[in-house]
Amino acid sequence: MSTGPSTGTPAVEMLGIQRHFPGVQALKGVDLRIARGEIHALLGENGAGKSTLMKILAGAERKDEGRILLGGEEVRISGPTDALDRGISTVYQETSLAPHLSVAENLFIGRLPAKRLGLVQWRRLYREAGAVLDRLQIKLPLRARVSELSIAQQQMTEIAKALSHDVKVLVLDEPTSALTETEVSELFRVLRDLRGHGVATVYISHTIEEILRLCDRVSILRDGELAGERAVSETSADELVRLMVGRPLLEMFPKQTVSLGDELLRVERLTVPGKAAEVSFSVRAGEVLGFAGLLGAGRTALMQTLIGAIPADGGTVLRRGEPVRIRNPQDAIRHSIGYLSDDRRRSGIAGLLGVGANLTLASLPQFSRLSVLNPIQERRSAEAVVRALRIVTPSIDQQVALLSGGNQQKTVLGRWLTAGVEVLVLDEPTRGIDVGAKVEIYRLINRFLAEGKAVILLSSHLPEVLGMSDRILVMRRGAIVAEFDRGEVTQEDVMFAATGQVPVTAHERGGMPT
Amino acid sequence: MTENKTMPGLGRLRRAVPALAVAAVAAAALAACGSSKPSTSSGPSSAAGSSPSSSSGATGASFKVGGAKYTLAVVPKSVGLFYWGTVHAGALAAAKALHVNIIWKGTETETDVAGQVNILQDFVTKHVSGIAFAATDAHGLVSTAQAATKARIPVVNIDSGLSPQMPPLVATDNIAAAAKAADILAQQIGGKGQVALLPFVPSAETSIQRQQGFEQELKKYPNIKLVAVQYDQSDISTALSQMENILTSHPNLKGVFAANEPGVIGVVHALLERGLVGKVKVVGFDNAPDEVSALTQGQVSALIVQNPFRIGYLGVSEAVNLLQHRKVPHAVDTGSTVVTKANMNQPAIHKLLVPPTAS
Amino acid sequence: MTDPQTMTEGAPAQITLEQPEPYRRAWLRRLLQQLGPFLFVLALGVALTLASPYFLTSTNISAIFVQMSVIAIITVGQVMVIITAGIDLSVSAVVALSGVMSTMVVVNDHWGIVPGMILGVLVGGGVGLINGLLVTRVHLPPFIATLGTLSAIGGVALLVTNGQPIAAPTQFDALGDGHVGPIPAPIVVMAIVAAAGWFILARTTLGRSAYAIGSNAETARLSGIPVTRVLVSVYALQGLLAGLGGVIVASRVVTGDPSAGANYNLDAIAAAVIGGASLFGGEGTVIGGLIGALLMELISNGGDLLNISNFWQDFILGVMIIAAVTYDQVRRRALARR
Repeated sequence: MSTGPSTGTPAVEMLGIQRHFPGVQALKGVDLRIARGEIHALLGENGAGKSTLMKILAGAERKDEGRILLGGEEVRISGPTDALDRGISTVYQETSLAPHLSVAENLFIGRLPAKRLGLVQWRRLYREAGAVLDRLQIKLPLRARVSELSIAQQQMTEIAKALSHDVKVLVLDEPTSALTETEVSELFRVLRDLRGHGVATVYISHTIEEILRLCDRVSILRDGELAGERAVSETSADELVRLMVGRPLLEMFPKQTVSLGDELLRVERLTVPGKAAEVSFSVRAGEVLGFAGLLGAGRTALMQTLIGAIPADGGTVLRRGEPVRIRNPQDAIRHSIGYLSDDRRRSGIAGLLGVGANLTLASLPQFSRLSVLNPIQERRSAEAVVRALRIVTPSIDQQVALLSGGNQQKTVLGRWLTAGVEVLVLDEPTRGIDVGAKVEIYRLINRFLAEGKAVILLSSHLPEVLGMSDRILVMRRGAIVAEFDRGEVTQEDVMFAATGQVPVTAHERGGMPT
Repeated sequence: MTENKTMPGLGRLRRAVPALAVAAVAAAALAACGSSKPSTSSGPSSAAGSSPSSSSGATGASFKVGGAKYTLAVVPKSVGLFYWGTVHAGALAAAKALHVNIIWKGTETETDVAGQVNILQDFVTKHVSGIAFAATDAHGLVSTAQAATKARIPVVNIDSGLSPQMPPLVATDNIAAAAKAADILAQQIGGKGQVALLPFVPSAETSIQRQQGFEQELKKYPNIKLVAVQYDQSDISTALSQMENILTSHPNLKGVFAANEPGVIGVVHALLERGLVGKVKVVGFDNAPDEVSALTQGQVSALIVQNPFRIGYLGVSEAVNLLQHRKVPHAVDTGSTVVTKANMNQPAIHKLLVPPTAS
Repeated sequence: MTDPQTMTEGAPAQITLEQPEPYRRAWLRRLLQQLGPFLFVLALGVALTLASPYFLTSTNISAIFVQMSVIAIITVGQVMVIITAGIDLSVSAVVALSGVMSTMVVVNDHWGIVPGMILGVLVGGGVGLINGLLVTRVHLPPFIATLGTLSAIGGVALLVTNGQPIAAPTQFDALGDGHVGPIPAPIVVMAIVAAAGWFILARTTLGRSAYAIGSNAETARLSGIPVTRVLVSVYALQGLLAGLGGVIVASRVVTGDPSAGANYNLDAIAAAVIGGASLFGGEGTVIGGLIGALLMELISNGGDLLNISNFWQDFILGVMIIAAVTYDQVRRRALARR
């Protein structure tokens, strides 16, 4: 690690970087300068070119044009290994850890201390791994398998692994998307500590609050171009959002209140073995019912049970007052209930299929007669949805895996719009997508409500639940522990209810909904 | 994915064949070959002499196990072909006559060398009294045979031997038999023209010997040219495709020698398809019902017929001799016979053509 | 943003204007994916034409298509199974059993030729059904489930015949050696199966569901795809096709051979993979599988015509499989990096 003051030659300069993909000019000549000992935020919507730019720096992607200077000297980065050798470490959003190996093994993977015959020197491995963590002041169980760690611990392992090399430049791609507040603070402490040691950090994030809290400077990318560069002390959230989106954002959560209609869904005493016991709630036309709670509170399991993806252990579901039997997701769709899953990659998209096939996946019967698909009808609907949701894709045949996260999420949402469901369960609908896409999804929720439909919104992001819901239920350990109305509640109230620390002041709940 | 399965339900197969080793069959076979010195000559006379009478009229004599002293394993190259059914019948006849038990077990395909190794290893582990087996691969089975000898289990090779040949071998002299095939084929096509050869598995000793014997003998006929050699892997439809393709590339082909049963059937169907029956002469090996009916219908000119019953019988009896520390010859030729439509109805030859079978 | 109704109720007129363009491009992309094997087929065809005067004759071309028909039919089923991220290793045994059953009822029970053949096909479908149920209901990995049926069904084929081939009456060759007009019947059957396979994969909800399950089974399930029903159907279809293949084999040689078909497992999987099907699921086409089957048939036909040793044929086949799978992996890695 280099030391010394944070002035003088920049640690990294990327000048006039261009990159062209089939159908897209991903980078149109971007300049980026990062000083030593600086935490530099890279902000931009999905598809703005942040990831491509950083992959070029990490040697994982080639550039068409432009120069890269490290410490003032022009370099040619020939590949990921070369980048590492030059002191550039990258932590990607998805961990690249080996799940069945220990933390220490992962830290030194590919360069385990070994004797001549290839026998690993275990004691030396643990000693050196311990030293790395001590230096970073990170606490991790060295001998635990990575698969046994929490997401946050895995993320820390990933960062420690990056830092175990001799790092001059550290790139972090959305490191906090899966972390709790405490874990975020811990990460920030480590990053500030590194700043003190002269490490240049590139911090890719969608969360403007985080950038304002942590970073020194910020570069904003929009459509493959540098939209601006600011010192964090001289900018504001409003300005950053404007630079990033290129259009003014009236507000973060554009919730429109719709007059409530009939009760569309009522759930009574729904029980999920080991996950939730006798949970009851209901939602009305035009209403957003928010579900808050910590990870593992049972919200996802409850909703997957509602749509028949997990077998229930008792309980009743009523649609418009009529009891219905839902044994599998087909039944749920038949009763016009859709579920947008919380894990886009694992259970949201079918990545190898085209955008069009993803959009119509939940409504194949609608697009077929006697099981024979009508490709023209399918195509029309898909192209209409692509336009309506502004999904950025060269064609509806593009494989979804090739789209950015925000566009993938819009595609999954589009699937339920195509299916025309009346009750839509959104499980973490904005996780890992940028501000612009988030706002678009909020607007879609509004339009959905205006059509007299109902939304159940599960989110770990408290401002989102509070900002978008008409009514908020808080779950803890498989039970609903509190209910709040819009406007009468603070983040603290919800947090207390979710953690069970302090008696809730708002009307405390028993088994039944209001 | 290659086949690598051992035989399920073989125990059942064995139990399902009670009416085989009737006394008459055993006695006839014993009289023919067990008591006198093994015949080393080959030809119709010796072969016919050893052939037991038909097994029809056999009572459902159950397979008595109680009094037997020894249990011998008899392992064919595969359990699929008609030929091995006759070997099985011979082995059962010997078992009955000599009051021993036999266990009959083999792989499904003649190409499954590893499967056969496993079967034999299991028998060594079980420590059977003796083993008679037909090697699917001349080299691949050597160490397994050595392991058996090391465990003091007497080993006899039947039908197909090893390289080097350590245990006594009871088999057709395949080189001599294939030479007969070359001679009769040459005679059928009038001593000149193009011919093809379909051996079966390139690593099997019998296939190698039949190829060798045929090719050597063919040198005596300068006007005959061997234009194609393809291994059919003992698979009928492979042989069919190969023969079609050979006929395509050699429209003047005069004759073909198919070195075992699937090859013969495949070749015949290729000729039927192309309307070339009779125009291309076929010499086959062995006497499966399909082959015999093809001979009857003139689709096949000649069959080289071994004496598998005798192989099975002598295989078991030689193993018993070894067990009782009697001296056994190193190699026994059980003979081969050229059968054509002209001689097939002679009684002695007919018995060879339609022998008893264990299934 | 447009009016909300347009999202769910079809497109407003102006959106339909520029449709054909991306449509054609997707078609082209798929064609390009198959281009490698296809060019190889062409090159091999040219080389064989030059090397043997007998290659480019109507007799031989007809023989090539007849000889590839069984592999091609089984490959169509195997492509479908592989698309769902599954695999069917039991086809060898199904080929043997269906051939044996169809000839046996004709010989022993005096069934007609046609009912006997239909029985053979249905026996295959039955085995496929068992495979499908083992995979979906017992939750066995497809590799294990079908490896089990491979052994069990292979055993049944030997048990019912005592290991002996069954010689069928001559008329049994109707399917294998018969003709429809001037065209050999196996080629006609192959063409029908290929067309039906293409239609199922490209134009029906079953095909679409198969692709979706192979791409992401959990996504498919949560989107209301009846995963169990789709998988059982796909395995049953593959069973029917393997049964059909077995009947054709038996008919060609007029024999129900309980040890027939050993090479069909590897060949059908190889043809599917060479034709661009991914063993990880979600990708594969009937056209690709047919090109793969044709490529393999050309190698063995050329080998016979030129009297090239079988060993070289095996070697070339192996190299092609490795090349195809390597190409698939490289492509996937490139996809994952984006």
